[in-house]
Amino acid sequence: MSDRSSKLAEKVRAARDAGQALHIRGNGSKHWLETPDQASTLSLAGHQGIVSYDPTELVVTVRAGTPITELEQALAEQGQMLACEPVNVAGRSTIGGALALGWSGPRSAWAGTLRDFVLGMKVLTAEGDILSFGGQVMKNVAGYDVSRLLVGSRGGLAAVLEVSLKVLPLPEQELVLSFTNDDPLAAMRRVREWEGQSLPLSGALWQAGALMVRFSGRTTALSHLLSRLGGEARDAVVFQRHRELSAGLLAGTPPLRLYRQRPLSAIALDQDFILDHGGRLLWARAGGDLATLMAAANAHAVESPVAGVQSGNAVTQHWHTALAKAFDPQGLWAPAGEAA
Amino acid sequence: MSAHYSAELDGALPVVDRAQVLAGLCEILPAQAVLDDTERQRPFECDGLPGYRELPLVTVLPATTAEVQAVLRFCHQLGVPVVARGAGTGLSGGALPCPVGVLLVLSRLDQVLEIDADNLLARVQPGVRNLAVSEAAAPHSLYYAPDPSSQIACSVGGNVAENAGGVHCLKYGLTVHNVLSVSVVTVAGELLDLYADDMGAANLLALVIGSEGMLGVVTEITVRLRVLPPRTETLLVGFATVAEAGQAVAAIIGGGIIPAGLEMMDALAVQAAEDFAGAGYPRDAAAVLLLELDGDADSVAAELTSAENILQTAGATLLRRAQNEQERTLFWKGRKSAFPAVGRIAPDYYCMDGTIPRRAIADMLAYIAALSEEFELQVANVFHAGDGNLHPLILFDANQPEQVERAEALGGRILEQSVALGGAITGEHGVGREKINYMAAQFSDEELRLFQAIKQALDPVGLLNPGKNIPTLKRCQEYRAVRAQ
Repeated sequence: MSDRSSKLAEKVRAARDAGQALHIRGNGSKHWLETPDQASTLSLAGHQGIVSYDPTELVVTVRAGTPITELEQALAEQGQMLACEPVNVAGRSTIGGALALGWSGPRSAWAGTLRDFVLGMKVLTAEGDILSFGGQVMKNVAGYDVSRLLVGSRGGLAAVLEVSLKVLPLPEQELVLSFTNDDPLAAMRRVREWEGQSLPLSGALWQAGALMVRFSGRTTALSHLLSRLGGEARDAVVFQRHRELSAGLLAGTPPLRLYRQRPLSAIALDQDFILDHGGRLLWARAGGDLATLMAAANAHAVESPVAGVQSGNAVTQHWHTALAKAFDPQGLWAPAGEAA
Repeated sequence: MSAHYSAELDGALPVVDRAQVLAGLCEILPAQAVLDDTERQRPFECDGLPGYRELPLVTVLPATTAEVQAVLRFCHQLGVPVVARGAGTGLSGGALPCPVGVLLVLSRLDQVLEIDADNLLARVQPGVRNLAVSEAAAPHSLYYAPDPSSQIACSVGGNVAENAGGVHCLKYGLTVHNVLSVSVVTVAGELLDLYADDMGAANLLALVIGSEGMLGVVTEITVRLRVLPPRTETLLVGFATVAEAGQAVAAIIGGGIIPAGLEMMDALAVQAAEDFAGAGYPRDAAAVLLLELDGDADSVAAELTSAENILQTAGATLLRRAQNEQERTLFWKGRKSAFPAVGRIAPDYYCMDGTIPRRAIADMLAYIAALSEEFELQVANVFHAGDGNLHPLILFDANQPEQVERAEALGGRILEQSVALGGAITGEHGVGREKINYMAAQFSDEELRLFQAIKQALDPVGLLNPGKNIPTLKRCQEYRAVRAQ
């Protein structure tokens, strides 16, 4: 439980003065990324601990190296949770690592994504300065939203030292039902019907001919769902394993992530895939060119777990490049996925 | 110190050849879309913050994205500043025109392009009014959640620029939580699409939302629609002290309930609202809470019982549940008309927008009461208690310059106290021109330098909305020097 901010800042300044590149690293749970040598690593793993947590404020402030599992345990003791379920690879990811990747779990399609729950950050810049953006309040529109911009930036703009996250009450109860359904879109259409009835959805996942749905909420609201909807009750651990990327198609190096704005739009893929987030996220293996794959999946963006974003036009790329230069004029940060 | 533009503190504005600009714009746009006379530009000289006024060089009203691009391309080539404007309901002077710039009014881009009920989204142009989205979605039993008090008039484009909130933020989020994608025209007139869920690199959409027209001009917005909740319950709750009301707010949230709305008003605001709307608010209460629960019928029933118990225990002197939709609307009418209601008891009011941690609500109200005495101006407090967003309304008379000064000074002290309590100078109204000095209270020079670097990366010459949102370091030095005296 220690604050290593000043040591980390020293290391950044030394690297900058030496003209050396630095990889930002947490627990290294994303095993599919290359492991850089220690000299060129800025390790956030030891920078741990909850800085402040007041359950009635619905806000927790935590150091980036804190394992998600530990953080969620502390929240659960107060009957609260991270509603976006940040992806927690094999249960070993840190919250900083989760922010760098920006991936959210099954509940995010209804509750909001990790980016949505970020209220503020303390960051370490490539200059070695420690800066604060956002804060510990629900609403803050002063200045640009640097903290949410950094979500998904893969350590290319600044090192996150601390983050303040909105938390929410744990549901009283969860119910997981599975349904046999060969047609993924028909399955998601059913989910949409349930949403239309305001059922408390918190996960909808289709893979290998089965729809897995999770409901979370008040016990009274869930009690008659099984008899009303049919299906087969399953252990909630299936969503846990999914979120940890430890089962089936997601184990090993994860497949590509294809983002779909229209969850019920057609899919014309001739390979196995997983439809997640109620149809808004599709996991599929690479094959052929990306444009064809995106068109077949009706996706507006595709992300490689290794290389990051694979889409967007030249103007978007120009914005990314210009911002990287603004944050890191000397090119100190070596992006994740590449050896320094 | 004054927040008005000063060449010395804010930098000189570019020299612009008016005739050349006018001639060029008339080639791009139809004649009726270019306004250059004082009379027709007068309505655009301020937004919802009337203390700040300026006539633009030229006002243009494009009707298509292509026209917006052409205007920006042209202005970029000539080095002419551009200020984008939606419905002009903003409260921070964010759409205040630049005297040597083009005012780009987006009100003609006013089409709801698509309601996709299956996929729970709406695609709209920036000039569409906020409420019009929910109206268009209503036949499908859907709605758009962010609901600022100005929702009858304010535009979705303006909501994006300010990251607008509303009374249902705690449960349903701000604009940033409800926008799926936007099309943005860059300062050079290029078009790009940004998505909320594109996580393969930095989240550019989050940067653009709330950027107050400093980084680009949004020409199309895809928003998330939600299913209208089958059951909604609204409670009107009175308390004998402000402290008890504040504790009740914490107890509700600590009790695991996330209300759809949780609003608080102090005695002066309650009196004014009651005179105006006759909503049945208790005139003898020191504070009134409005608490709304929504969702599926079973969950709402469970939460209602729980909430009523918590409020009783917290010392509520009045606890009334709206018996029907008519009464529910009436309860809300009191709250939603609080601003105009307060406007009736004084010639003018100045609306502040600080945010604080919820636990500091009672302390902050005590602090504001002390300021009210010190500055000899009445303050009515209306706020989004659920998310700690205060809207103190400072009553004054704009015809008395000395009162204007006092009102601004009092407001500044509230913003500085918000920062001191761990909050922010603005929760949903934006910095604009109004709060430009107070950015120095919330941010260090290094933090402001990063903001400037971001601005420079995407708008190198600084043509978009110059003088807004991010102060120069020189202005910050001046602010700190004045404060230190």
